[in-house]
This record gives sequence, structure tokens and C-alpha cells, in this order.
Amino acid sequence: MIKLENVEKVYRTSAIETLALSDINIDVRKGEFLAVMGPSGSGKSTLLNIMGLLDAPTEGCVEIEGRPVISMGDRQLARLRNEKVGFVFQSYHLINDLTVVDNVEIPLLYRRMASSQRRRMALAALEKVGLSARTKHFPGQLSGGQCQRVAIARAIVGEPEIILADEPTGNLDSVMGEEILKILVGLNENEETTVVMVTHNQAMADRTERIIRLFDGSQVN
Amino acid sequence: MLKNYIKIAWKVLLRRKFFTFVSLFGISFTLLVLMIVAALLTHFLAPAGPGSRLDRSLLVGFVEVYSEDIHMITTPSYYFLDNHVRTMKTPEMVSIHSAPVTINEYVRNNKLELNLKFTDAEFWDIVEMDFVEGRPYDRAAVENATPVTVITEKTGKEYFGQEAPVGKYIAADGINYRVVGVIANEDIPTWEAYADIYVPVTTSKSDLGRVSYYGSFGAYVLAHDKSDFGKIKSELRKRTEKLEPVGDIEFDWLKCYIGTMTDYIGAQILGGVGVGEGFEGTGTYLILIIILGMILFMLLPTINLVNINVSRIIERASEIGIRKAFGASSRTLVGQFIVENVILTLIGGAIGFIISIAALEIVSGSGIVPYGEFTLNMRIFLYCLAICLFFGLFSGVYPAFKMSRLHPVEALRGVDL
Amino acid sequence: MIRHLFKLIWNRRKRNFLIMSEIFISFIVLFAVGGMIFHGLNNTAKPLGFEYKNVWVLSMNWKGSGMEKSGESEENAGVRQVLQEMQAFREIRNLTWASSNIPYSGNTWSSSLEYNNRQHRFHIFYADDDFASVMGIPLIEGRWFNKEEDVLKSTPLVINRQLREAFFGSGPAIGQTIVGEEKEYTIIGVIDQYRYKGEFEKPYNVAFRRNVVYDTASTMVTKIMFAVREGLGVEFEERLMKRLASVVRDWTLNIERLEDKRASYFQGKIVPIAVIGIIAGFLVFNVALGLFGVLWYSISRRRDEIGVRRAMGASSLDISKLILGETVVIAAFGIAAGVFVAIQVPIIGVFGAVAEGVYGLAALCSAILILVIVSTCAVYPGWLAARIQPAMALHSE
Repeated sequence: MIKLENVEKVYRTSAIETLALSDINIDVRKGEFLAVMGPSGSGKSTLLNIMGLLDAPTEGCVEIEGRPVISMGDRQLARLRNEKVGFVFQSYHLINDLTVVDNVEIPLLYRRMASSQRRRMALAALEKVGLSARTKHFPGQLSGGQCQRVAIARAIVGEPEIILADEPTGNLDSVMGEEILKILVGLNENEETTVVMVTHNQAMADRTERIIRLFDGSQVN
Repeated sequence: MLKNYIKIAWKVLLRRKFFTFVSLFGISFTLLVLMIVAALLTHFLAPAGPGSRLDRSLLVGFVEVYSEDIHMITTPSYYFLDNHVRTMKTPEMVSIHSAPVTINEYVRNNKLELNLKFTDAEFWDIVEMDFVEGRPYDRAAVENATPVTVITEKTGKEYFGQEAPVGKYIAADGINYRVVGVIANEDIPTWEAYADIYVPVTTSKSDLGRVSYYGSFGAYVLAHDKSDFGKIKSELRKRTEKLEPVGDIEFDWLKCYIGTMTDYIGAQILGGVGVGEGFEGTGTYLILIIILGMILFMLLPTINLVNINVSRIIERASEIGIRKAFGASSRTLVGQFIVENVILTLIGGAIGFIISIAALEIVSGSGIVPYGEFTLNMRIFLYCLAICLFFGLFSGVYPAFKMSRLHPVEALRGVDL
Repeated sequence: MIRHLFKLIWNRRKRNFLIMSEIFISFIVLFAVGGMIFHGLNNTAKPLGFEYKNVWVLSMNWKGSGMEKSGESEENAGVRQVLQEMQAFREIRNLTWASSNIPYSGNTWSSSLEYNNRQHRFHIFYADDDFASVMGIPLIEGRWFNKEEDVLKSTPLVINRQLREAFFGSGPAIGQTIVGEEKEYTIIGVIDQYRYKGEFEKPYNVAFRRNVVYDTASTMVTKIMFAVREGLGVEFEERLMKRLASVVRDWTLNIERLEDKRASYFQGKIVPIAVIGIIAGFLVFNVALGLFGVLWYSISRRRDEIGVRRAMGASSLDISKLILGETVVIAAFGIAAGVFVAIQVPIIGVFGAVAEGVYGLAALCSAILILVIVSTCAVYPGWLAARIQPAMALHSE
């Protein structure tokens, strides 16, 4: 599904050079549930950004479904993100001025589609995360767990093949965190969506099929 | 505390140079326009400086007659003013002058188009002007129809070049007049008293004794004090309301209108005085219209400033949050912001002031406005300072109010206003 | 996508309100200035109907001039003497007396006549047989006044095309009689136009009535218009004035050239428009700067949103389009409010009768100008937004 070979990422500023990732080799297989663990600053988020085509590696090769992305332009990358990838963030990143259902529709805005169909798909996605009753609310009126469920609905509305979740339970208490994890597990099992989840939490990581551990930008096994 | 405010304000303004530039541009440009308008207005609308004799004078500018067949508002005749206005008891002094007559004179192959005005000697006592040379003609000269004249500095230059005009002769309207006085250019009056050449009314070609109420004359009525205006008006009303038609036109009633210079100018500009309404109060009306126009003009720059200020505050939301978290009260923050704004507007005001001095130089030099020598006096400067402060406070208050209500936690998160 | 933009702007209406009101006021300002300019252009493009080059005016003032006196008088003799003296000058090709409502003088006389139960108002002029040739007014139907009228019972009229259409439509005009309250009038000629009030005024109805100075014995004659040879200077003017002043010693005379009167008329019209235009331009520039600043800084505030959109599949072009689109929609709201106010103007008729097209054109041009300015202001902020790296934007906390 997504394959990283000898990936290295260096952040350069005029003063310092920081090695965020080095020599990463990961092959995410279709339909698997993968956890990425590591202390803060170990490069987990950078790894996820590279997998989600939000960031390009300094060295090495990223392939998605067997096609290298290095030669792709901005528009092609945007299209791949739109069709293949769904993002869930720790701090939800919902647009406060839009209602729940409008937030969920965002990925579909960048596809050619009738607006009635968009609305139908957004409502269906909200139903899957159990938020059908809150479609007209604004994010400010929701709890953290509800916000994260909206974010998941937004990630799945475009029926992506892979969901990249960056500490999706990080801002939530354990009860809400458990609910979110259940949704992700359900998606993985019932719809065969590939899930990559960055987490701090060993208990959560244990419930996934495979764990990749990072330390100071390198894989440790 | 204030020193500290000013120091921070200065730093903030330097940090966001673009916003500072936009604000300064808006303020100085707005002030530029307002100052030029104010200078023009004082030149045109307030020919009578406070405390001058003109300021405590009224002008008999119009007579109105009405009957089934005719409705006419026109200027009064010499006969009318001489018999019914000059004889009034309440005023200190009355002066009669003609409307200007346009004449052509040919000097060294140049054509001069000049406005000639016939006046009595009292005219010079009421319209106090500075003479660069000579003096006005006196009562004896008017009585004897002596061909003497007072000209403006500009006219003198057109006739005689660099030579001093006093004592020389100029031909105007077929008569050779001896120049006795020259009026300084910057002192040349506007509106009613305006002309290029002033000569004794008795040298006029028109028939001063013609028995008619309508002609092309006007009269200044000097009051002992401004509080006598009411008395003068009622005396004139009593004297003229019973007048019977004389000469050529029959009428049902006749009204004679008297008012301040500003009222007269208001009537000239706004025109369209209704039947029997007169022009009393039109000056106030005109000034209201001008103020309204100024406010409308200032609306756009003000909204712009408010808009920019809101942006500036949003930008600093997290800074405000931190200050609040460390115990700054809303009041100090609002104070800080307003000080910032007032400083900004004062700088803008200073720039605008300098530009408008330059612009007025250009307007005065261009000759677009005849005899338009505009100067910025203290009064205008103070008005503009007031406008500056109004700008600063007004555009700062709304955003500052928003800021003061900002919750520290939200501010730290950088939430929208 | 458009729907999405409207939703975004509607939900952020409080924040966008100030910008919208600025756009609204800017539109009104531009509309007013544009209306003035187009009104002027629209009218100046139409033919004036007379010749102003090498036509001079002599004004005469005497004791009691301008008052109507009947019967033969000293003044009539004076006017006839002046006419005679002037005819002796070789430089003067042609001359005519005119009522005081001469071109560019600001004097207007109007009158009305009823025909077929409809009242028609028009500007009225008294003119003699030479007026049309002095003023270079071509006739499109019939003829100008001549001596034949001396024996005519009814008063001859020459009217302009516009009044002709108002009276008679497409029917015949020449020879038609109109019965007035005191007199009977016969139409003997039609001219195209005589726009004596100047180029900036909308065309109006015009009628000329014959009045000949040597037989009416009227003292209303205070102006003489005369056509002169090309290229005459002050020297001739001075000579003429000296000669005439020696004939009528106690009159005040003055000569003006129609061309000069026209130039000062133009100055009087164009200077205010130019001043208002410059002020309006600065106001709008001021608004543009402000808008640019606000947009610029709003980008840094929206990094988060932009990052999310990028992650969800928006290309950098989509982001640019979003910023530009939003700004244009906000401007469109302001313009819509402005148009709503602007269409009230012709309904209320604040500025009197103005050609309908002028309003539409002024509104259209103002709207386009604002959209262009607004889009220009949004280009750089849009480019900045497009350059935001999603990975950085989303993890900046």
C-alpha cells in the first residue's frame, strides 16, 4: 500500500540542521492496523506526514500502490491525498466557522460531485461515527470526543484506503479515547481500511496488529 | 506609566510597518482633504473674521415682490437703500455699494477683464482692509464725485507692472481715475465686497436717483453690537412692510431681506429661496450640510482604520493573553491600545499638516481661485488636531472594547474576535 | 464550491461586515463619480448645434438697461447706431442681436405652448434674420426667418428636432400653426439642436421667435453677437471698443469671445469633477491598502484551516482560489448592497433627468473596478496562503 525505503528527513534552518528521520524502511500492507510509537520528538509526526504525502523526504523513496511519488507535482499529490488518504489529528483541526456536516464535506469539495451527493455521503459518514444528531452544530458546541468523531467522519467520508491518525486520543480522557479507538478498529475490521496510528499509549498500541517504534528518528525493533 | 505606554506603542508601530503605513496614509490623506476644505471654507464662507466690523454687520441683499402676475427676488436699487436703509436709526453705520460690473480695458495690447464696484466712503470703514499703499477715498471724494479709485495689488500689477500705482491714472469704463490706494492681495474680500477696482458711487453711469425698488446695489448695516441684530431687523421690517409700489412694477407686497454674511453666502450657494422665506438661517443650513458632507467623507477612512485596528488586535491576541495571564487588567490594556492609536493619529496628523501647507501653497500659486491666497491659521490647526484625536479615539475604542472582553485562555489560543 | 464560499462568508459575517461596508461605501462613491463622468461624456458626445469659434459678444449696459420699455426711445437709437458702426468694420462678417440668454451665460428663459391638448415646455430665444448665419446653425427643414415675415400675420417660430417630435411626431411640421394664449405661431423651420447651456447639459426643447431690433422698438436688446474673421487679436478688439465707446459715451460696454466663455464653462465643470475624482480615487486606494493589509494578516490566522484543507486534498491552486473567491464574494455582497441603493437613485430622481443608460454603465463600471481592485488585493495574500506547508501548519502548536 505505502512503502518507505531508506527515508531520511532533515530540517534545515540557517543556523542548525536537525535530523528528524533516518534510514526508515516501512511497508504498510493493505488492510493492516499499524501503530507508531515513540517518545515526543522521535519523529512520529514527521513520519506520518511523509506517509500522508504532506511532506517530502530529504532522501529515499516513497511509493504508494507501487508508484513512486517523488516525481509527482502538487496537483497530483493533492489528488492522491484526496482519494487515498484520510487524516485524523490530535487537536481535531476542525474549521470553527463551519457546521459539523460542512466540515465533513470538505474532502468532497475537491472532487467533482453534485452537492446533494456530498451531503448524502457526509451524513452517512456521520452516521458511522454516531453523530447523526449533531450535524447542524458548530465545533465549539461539541465535546472533545465528539469533535474527534467529526474528524474521523471527515477522514472516512471520501472512502480512503488508508487512515493516518496522529495521536487521535491524545487530548481525550480514557473513556472517550476508548470510543475513538473502537471506531478505528471497527473501520479496519469491517471495511478493510488500512489504519496507521501514532500513539503514546502502550495499551492502545497493543491492540493493533503491528508496532513500529521510533527513537531519535530511527526505527528500533 | 504613560512613558512606558509610549515606548511600547512606538515599538509596536515599528514592528508592523505595513499596518502603520496604511494607517498613516489614511489619516494624513483624510486630514489633507479636510484642511484644504477648511482653508477654502474660511476663505469663502467666513469673510468676516471674528471681532471685525464686518462680523457685526448685516447685509441687505435682496428685495422680493409678489403679486398674482409677478414673483421676483432681486437686488435692491440705490434709491431704495438710500431712502429706506441709510435712514435707519438702530445701526451705527450703513454703506451702499453696487454689484460688480464687468469692464474690458486694454493695456499694452493685453485685454483685462475687470470687476468694477461703486461704493460710498463708509464701505471702507466697514470692510476693513489692509492697504499696501495709499488709503481709501473719503466722504468728500464721494460727495464731489472725484474720479479716484482703490485697486487691488493684482490689478495694479496688470496696469503698471512693477511701478507703484498710487498717483497714477487708470482708465476704467471711459473715465480716468487717479489711484489713491492699493489693497493687499491676501486681504481682498470674497463674495459681496469682491472687486478689482473700487470707485466712488457718484461716478457711476447708472442713474442713482431712478425711482424704483430694484437695481443692482447692496448695503452693509453695521450694528453697535451683534446683540442689536434683532433690533435692526425689526426696524427694517417696520420701515419696508408698508411700502407702496413706485415706478414700473405693481405688487401686493414687498419684503426686504437682511442677514449675516454667512446667511447671504448660504442663499447664494443653495439658491432656491421660496416665496416669502428670505435667507435668514440659510447660513446655518449650509454649514450643517458641509459638516454632514465632512462626516460622510470621513466615514470610509474611519471604517478602514477600525478594520486595520481589529486586525492588529487579533494579531496580538496571544500577547494580550499572556499579559492578562500575568495580571494586566483590561483597563491597562485598553489604555495601551488607545495611546498607541492616538500616537499614530498624531503622527499622521503632523504629516497631513505638512502636506496640506504644501498643497495650499500650490493651490494659491496656481491661480485657479482668483485672489486665493490661503493660509492655515491657528483656528484650522486646532480643528484638525481635534479631528485627529477624534480619529484616534474613535477608531481605537471599538477594537479596544473587543480586546478588553477577550478571555485570557481564549486569547492564548489565538481565538478569533 | 461557490456554495461553500457563501457558507464560510455567511458564518463569518460579523468579521466580514466591516470589509463589506467599506466595499459598499466605495461602490457608492465610485458610482457617484462614474455617474457624473458618464453623464458628462454622454452629453458632450452629442452635437452642440452651433459654432462657437470666432463668434464674439458685445454686452451693453445703460441706465435702466434690461427693463422693458415700449415705444421708440433714446436707447433704441443707440443700439441701432452701434449696429451701424459695427457693420462698417470689414473684420466683422456678420452680426445679430440676441436676448440675454446667450450660450454659456447661465441665463435661461423658458416658455410653453399647448398643442393637441398637450403642454410642451421649451427654452425660448428672440432672434433676428441673421442669427442662424452668425451662430452657424444649419436648418434641417424649412428655412430661417427673413423679410417675408414682415407681412405674416402669425408669429414665425423655428424649433429644434426634439421639440418638433414632441409637437408633431413624424407628421409634417413646416407651416403648422399653434394657437397660443395671445398669439398664433407658425413653424417655418426646424434646426437640429441649439445647446446653449453647454456640452454637459442634456439636450432639451428649443424654440426661436422672430424679433427684429429696428422695428420692435424694444430696449431689451443688450447683447450683440457677431462672427469675425479668423485670427483677430486684442488689437482689433481695442479698436472696435474705442470706436463704439465714442458713439454711446455713457454706456458700459464689454466684449467676450464665445470660445473663452466656453473654456471657462468647461473649467467650471471639469475642475470639480476632477477634484472629486481625485479624492474618490484616494479614498478607494486607501480602502484597497486597508483590505490588502487585513487579508494579508488574516492568512497567518488561518494557517490551521489551510493546513487541513491541504491535507484533505486541496492543491495549492485550490487554496489561492479559495482566498481569491472569498474576497470576491465579500466584495460582491458589498456591491449588491450598493447596487440596491444605486437603483433607488433613478427612481427617486435625485439628479433630475439623466439618460437611463448612464446609471447602468456607471454601476457596471464601478462594480468591475471594485472587483478588479479587490482581486488585485487578494492575489498576494492568496499566493502566501498557497505557499503554506501543510505539515508545518498542522504541527505548529
